[in-house]
Amino acid sequence: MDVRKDLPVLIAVILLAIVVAGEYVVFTASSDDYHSSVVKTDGVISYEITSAGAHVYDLVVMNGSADSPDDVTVYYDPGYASCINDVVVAVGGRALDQEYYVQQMDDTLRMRGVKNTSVADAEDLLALTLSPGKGHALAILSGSLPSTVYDGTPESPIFKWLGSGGRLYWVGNVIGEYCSDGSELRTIGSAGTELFLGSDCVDPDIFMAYEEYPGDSCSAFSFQNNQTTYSPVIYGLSPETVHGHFGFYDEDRSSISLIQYGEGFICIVGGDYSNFQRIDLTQVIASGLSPTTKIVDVIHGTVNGKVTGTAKVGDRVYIYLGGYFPVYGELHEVI
Amino acid sequence: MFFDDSRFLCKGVLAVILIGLVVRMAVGTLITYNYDVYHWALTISNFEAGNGLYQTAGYYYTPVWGYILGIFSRFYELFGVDMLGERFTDLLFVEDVATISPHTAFVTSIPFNTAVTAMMALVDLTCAYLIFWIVRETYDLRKAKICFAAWFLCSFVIVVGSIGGMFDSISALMTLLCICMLMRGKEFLAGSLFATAVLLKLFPAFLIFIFIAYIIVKHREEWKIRVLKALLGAVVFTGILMAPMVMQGTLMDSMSFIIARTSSDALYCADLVRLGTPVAYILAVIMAMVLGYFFIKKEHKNAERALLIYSFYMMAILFLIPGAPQYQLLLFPFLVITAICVDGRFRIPMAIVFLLSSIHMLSPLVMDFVSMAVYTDILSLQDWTAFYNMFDYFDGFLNMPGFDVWSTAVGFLDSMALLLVALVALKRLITVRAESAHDGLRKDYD
Repeated sequence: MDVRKDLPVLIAVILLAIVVAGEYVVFTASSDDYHSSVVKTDGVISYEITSAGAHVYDLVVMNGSADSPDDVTVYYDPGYASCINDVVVAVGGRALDQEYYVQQMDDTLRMRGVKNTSVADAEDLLALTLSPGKGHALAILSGSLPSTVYDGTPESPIFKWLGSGGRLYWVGNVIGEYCSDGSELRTIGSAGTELFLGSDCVDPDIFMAYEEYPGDSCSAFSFQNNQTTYSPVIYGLSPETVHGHFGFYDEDRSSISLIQYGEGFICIVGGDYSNFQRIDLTQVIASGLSPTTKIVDVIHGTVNGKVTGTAKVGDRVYIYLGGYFPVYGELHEVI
Repeated sequence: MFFDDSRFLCKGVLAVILIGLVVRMAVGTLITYNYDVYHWALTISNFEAGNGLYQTAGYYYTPVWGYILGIFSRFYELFGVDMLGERFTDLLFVEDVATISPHTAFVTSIPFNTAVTAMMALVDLTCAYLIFWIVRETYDLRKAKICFAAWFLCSFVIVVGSIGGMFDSISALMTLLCICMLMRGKEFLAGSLFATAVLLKLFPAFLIFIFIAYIIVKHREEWKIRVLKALLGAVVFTGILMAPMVMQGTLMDSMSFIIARTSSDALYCADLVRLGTPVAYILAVIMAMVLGYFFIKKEHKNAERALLIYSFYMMAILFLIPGAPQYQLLLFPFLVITAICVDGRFRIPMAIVFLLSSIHMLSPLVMDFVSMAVYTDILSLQDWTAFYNMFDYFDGFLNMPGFDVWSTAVGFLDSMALLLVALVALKRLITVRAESAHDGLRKDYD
């Protein structure tokens, strides 16, 4: 080999090998490359985290939070009208419509340890809401519910399901304002919102938050979405209603609102569709945040291989890797 | 005399390498356009979570850059870089401004920025070497070293890779390697590299007719088998690179960039450009075919020189179509070679293009300094915010934020500079043809 003449050939072979090796890395990486565990000993929580590479980790100890849902159902039925606004995406990006949002929910939840997810149409949703809600989570991304489960009356199946312990996660529009009779969208109005939240406390105008809601939840959970549109005005909620707020705060409403409903609860993640919203929504579902959650301890650290440590005691511990660029998450019950 | 030594690594070249590397690392570590680099971090986290490149949103290109990020992630993790970036509540206000180049409250970490800069510096250096190699093989050693220096110290090349964190220099690297392989008669590798380059960024695709023409001109007797070898290389590598997307059902997602990337919104007269872009690219394809045809029809004293000058003409025409500033980086190797080795009339236009394209690339301006404001004591966030309000978000006119006015103005000037290069190229073409006609000779374009 004449190095003077053939060095570019060597560079070409190396470069092509790099590209193919990178392809291997991209498609063999998995959230199974990470693991965490916690155990309560001597009045503290001992934890162990393993990571295939170098990552930051966050450990959040909570009291009063929910357990990991048995399953998460995402409603999607193109035969029923939706009521959501189109959003702008980055140049070259696929349009963030309901179908794409729904598709990504499974991948985003699975990475956070929520493996049992499914998509339900309007008929499946009726079957779901006719069974007890405890332990089950339902994500509605359509901005309106199908008339099979909600028709603007208190007798609608969704309320019984919620009251029996169901968890309803809501994005995209004012909750209860609309229902869909097939392809027809029916306006219920503020009376519908009252059925869900106990009062007409949602202003449909566009709001953004530039502060964090007190309590450091933004930092603890690396929340990203600062839209508060469609979130309830905090002081507009009935004093008898148990509610918790997280994320960002515009002095009237928060980007993440959790409102108790019977034995279950409603979670509203504010704003129109965005990737930030999806990331926060899945973080809330996976971490078991509930209206009564209190953060007991937060530990930020780095791991490259294995790390161990201790934290204050609480009911549940949510551990995730990657910070604002999450690669793994898992909710642990402290026994 | 600085480059007169007969060795490649003479004092002059070593000085150029040292200056180029120091400038890149100093600048790129502290000054970064976070919007794009944030997306590299997001892409890495998406595939590290087991979601490949397209299952969750964040990666908007064809797969090759994602694969390079795959290897890149393994390297920086070896050095313990664990924190890729953070979202700053104090910066959320920048996301409200609807500008033609979006701003983000995400700020990538300085170690991550440094890692990106180091990778891009290595790519720039390899490109510089390949330019040197090509010019040494086609012209002479001294010109080769001058071209090496012109590329490696070019402000635009530094800005695109080190501040912008954009991978257009990798596209240039693959294109230059493809040319080297053609010159060495390694058509299978050339085809593999060409496919990889096109699947990294679309623009090298416009050189296909010129590359085929070169094979025909260079190997008049056996060009068919050589073109077939190149085609085989391209097909094999396209298959290797795209197979995962076919299996995952994300092939259409991986190709979405072809329309969106060539109809950039980062432009003045955006509506006009959106409407005119498909037409412009069709015209560019026709022009590529015409150039390929002329390349084949003419006799060339030196086919390699012709390959370089025809490639230059093609790129000069292609980048008249307005787009994001970093796209035009692919023109620069050919512009440098042409200005230094072929025709001195290109030198002043080249200097103007160097300057204006750098300013165009730096048009996010204050946003480029945000890493410095949030991670170091060199600049406070308060001062940064004051600068932001003064330069990027002052009340513009025509309902445009100040940033858009500024960006549009420098974009226009950059386009005018590229037009100047194209006009000089046209003048050269006409002059050469006129001289040929006058002499009654088939005078070579090279």
